[in-house]
Amino acid sequence: MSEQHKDGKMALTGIRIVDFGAGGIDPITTSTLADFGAEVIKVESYTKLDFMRTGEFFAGEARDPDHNFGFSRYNQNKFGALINLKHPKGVALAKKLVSVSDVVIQNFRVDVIRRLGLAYEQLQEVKPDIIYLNSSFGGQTGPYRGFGGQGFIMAALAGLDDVTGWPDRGPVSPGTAFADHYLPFLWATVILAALEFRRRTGKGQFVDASSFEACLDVLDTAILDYNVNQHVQTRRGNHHQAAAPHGVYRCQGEERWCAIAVFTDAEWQSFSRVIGNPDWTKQARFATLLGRVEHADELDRLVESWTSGQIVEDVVLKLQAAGVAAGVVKNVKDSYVDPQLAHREHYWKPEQPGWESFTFEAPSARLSKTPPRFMRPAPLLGEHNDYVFFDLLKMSPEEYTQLVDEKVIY
Amino acid sequence: MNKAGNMHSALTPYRVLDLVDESGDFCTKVLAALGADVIKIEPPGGHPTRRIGPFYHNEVDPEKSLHWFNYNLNKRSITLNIESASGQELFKRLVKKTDFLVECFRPGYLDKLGLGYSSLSAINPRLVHTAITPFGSTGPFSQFKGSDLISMAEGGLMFLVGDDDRPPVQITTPVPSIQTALEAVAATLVAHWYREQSGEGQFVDVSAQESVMAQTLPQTMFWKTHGLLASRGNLGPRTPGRPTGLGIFECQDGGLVICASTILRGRQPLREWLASEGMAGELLDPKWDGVFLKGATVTKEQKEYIDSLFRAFALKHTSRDLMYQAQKRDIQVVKIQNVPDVIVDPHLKARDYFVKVEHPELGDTITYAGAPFKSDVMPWQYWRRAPFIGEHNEEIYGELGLNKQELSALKEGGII
Repeated sequence: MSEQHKDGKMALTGIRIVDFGAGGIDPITTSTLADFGAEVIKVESYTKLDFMRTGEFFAGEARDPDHNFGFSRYNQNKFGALINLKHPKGVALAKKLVSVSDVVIQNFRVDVIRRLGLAYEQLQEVKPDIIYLNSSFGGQTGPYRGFGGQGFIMAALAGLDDVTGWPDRGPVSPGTAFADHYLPFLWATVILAALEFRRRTGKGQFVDASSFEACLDVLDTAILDYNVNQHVQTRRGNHHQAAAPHGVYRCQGEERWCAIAVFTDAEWQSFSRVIGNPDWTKQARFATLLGRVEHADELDRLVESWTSGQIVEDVVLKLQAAGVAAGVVKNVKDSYVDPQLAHREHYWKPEQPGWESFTFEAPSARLSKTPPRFMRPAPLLGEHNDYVFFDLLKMSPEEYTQLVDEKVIY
Repeated sequence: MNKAGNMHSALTPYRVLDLVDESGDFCTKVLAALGADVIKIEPPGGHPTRRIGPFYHNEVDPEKSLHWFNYNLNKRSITLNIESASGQELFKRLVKKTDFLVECFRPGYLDKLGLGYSSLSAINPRLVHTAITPFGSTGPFSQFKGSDLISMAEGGLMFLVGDDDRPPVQITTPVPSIQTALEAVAATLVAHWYREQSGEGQFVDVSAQESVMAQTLPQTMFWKTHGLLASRGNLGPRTPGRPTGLGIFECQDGGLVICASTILRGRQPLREWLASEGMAGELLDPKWDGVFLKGATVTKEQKEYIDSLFRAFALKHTSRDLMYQAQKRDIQVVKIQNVPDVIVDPHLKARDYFVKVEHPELGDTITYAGAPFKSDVMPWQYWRRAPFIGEHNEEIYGELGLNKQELSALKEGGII
């Protein structure tokens, strides 16, 4: 029985993933699978810590790499073992671990992995049907092969910054590190598809996972629109081609904003009723969708004259009660007191010492029979060495001690 | 390979009943690209998403929506009025023979029709039923209306996006829907894996609000570890007292690049690069060694100075050249591409990224965005243009045993 199984019935019990990744995309990919019960073994070494361990989100005053919230959140529910890949015996040990696993994920710089001896073909020798996801900036071929960059960079290259912002201003970066928080769900999908493919065909595979290409789906119809109509889609503030008012409106207080989206004529009439049918709502130019879209700027000013004196939560409740789509532009603090998120138990509360005042987030999917579960924050360095080396790899205590002395298990 | 030219892939043996709208379109698109037999169920007269523009050659026509084209590749279409008793009976027969059902209805709607998960799982216990909704299937906001704008706001992402002197701003493309739909695919395949082990299907409940929240994790961390509340800026979220390491710079060709000008990695290479063209200003003075060689924190004034040098430097290079040269030196620089730039991107061309799909009825071949990954054995492929309204009625209802006479009666009755 695997270690993970002791925690109860979970969907992905029995799948073992060796995670050589660091940073955001790869670790979050495997932690997403760990949330549903996959046994993810994070391979680390004192010779090469995941840089998130020493990033700026230390959970306490001490700069303790075992107590970093950023690392812990991106690696929740995993197991951890120390293998020094700079030592030849470390590479052999890693291969041994791969030989009893289903999936390998890594985001080493292109070529580094082959020099190490952990490339796909090299691992196929020990595990012919291994599923191997090689995540990189631009993939294994092409002019951008070997490029590097964090999540925000991929979004800019993929055109997402250009479609974010105001038409009279320059592009805007859409969030912190867009790719870091989008691609994990794609790579998790690809790993699950590859597992299903192997289940039926017996075949493993190499997946060339290029972050740049994978971000392009978020351009929606922009690529088609250009190819077919030579029309360039770009940023347009908060407006929408088929809705008005459609935007974000100032409410009472500092940085309190309400998002409102009125699509149909019926919604417009409901909206007008909620705001007390002031005279301006009766103007003929606002009566139809096309008229409202054409006069969207003016409409925005009039709508804001109604919202600006009110409390944002009240505006949202009134509009939603009348069947108009509206929402609070929430900040982190708002989310923590959001009743819907509380209902869905979005925030997981760890019991592990040192983590009592933190929360870890659930994925957005609730599965009725095998829900995602929080079992533990990220592993401490080498926390599960015993499990990995003794239980999985059947190492003798003598061999273990020797490898520790030689800084292979390090 | 079948006669349509699609190769065996991960989901080839499986069938999906597709009842999604634009908030779930990407979910069933992915399932179809991975080989599943996706049957789009449209109300008689056509699905409302056929009204979403833009349109082929700007001709407003339910058979020419580019939104429809983009999200319904490979799929088959039937028409069916699930609000009628006869339609419900047919629907249940389809459910018996399906593996997945994906829908985006308001919570409770299918239950009222007698087609909720409890009824459908009684007919087909192996069914994986995935519901994608703005706020989730239950809870105080579950009946609230949503849209991309609302999800981006309620999920906490919008607060972090935009220029600081204007209101928070949306991403113009429907990123919240795409992100949510993608998380729904992953969860659906998790449920599939469990079904293949246990024989049991289940209900998968996905909330757009919660999916969008994944984009806000770093800001949640700043709040939990430092008590700092991030706000928006054109270079991404701004955290008080934490100057961003990034900058946007105009180049000789008028193009823009984003450059991680002062993040730790690449800092010294940037100094050397500026110096190699005699544009390093006073940066070679040893008083800067702390910043460049010892990783000292960069002050606001120091960053402004470094950026002023790089601003002048960038204007002497084209945006693409600047990106290549920087990347060779391990400095994080990319061109901020717009859609036309993406379409002629040399890397995408070299990797054969774009895919041509034939539209014989239009006498045209259209180029689509391609596969997001490459695998030698498990293809992500588009082998058939999006279907016309009810294009596969005869084929699919025929499989259920309905003959032509029955089909025409159902058509007259407004059922299909």
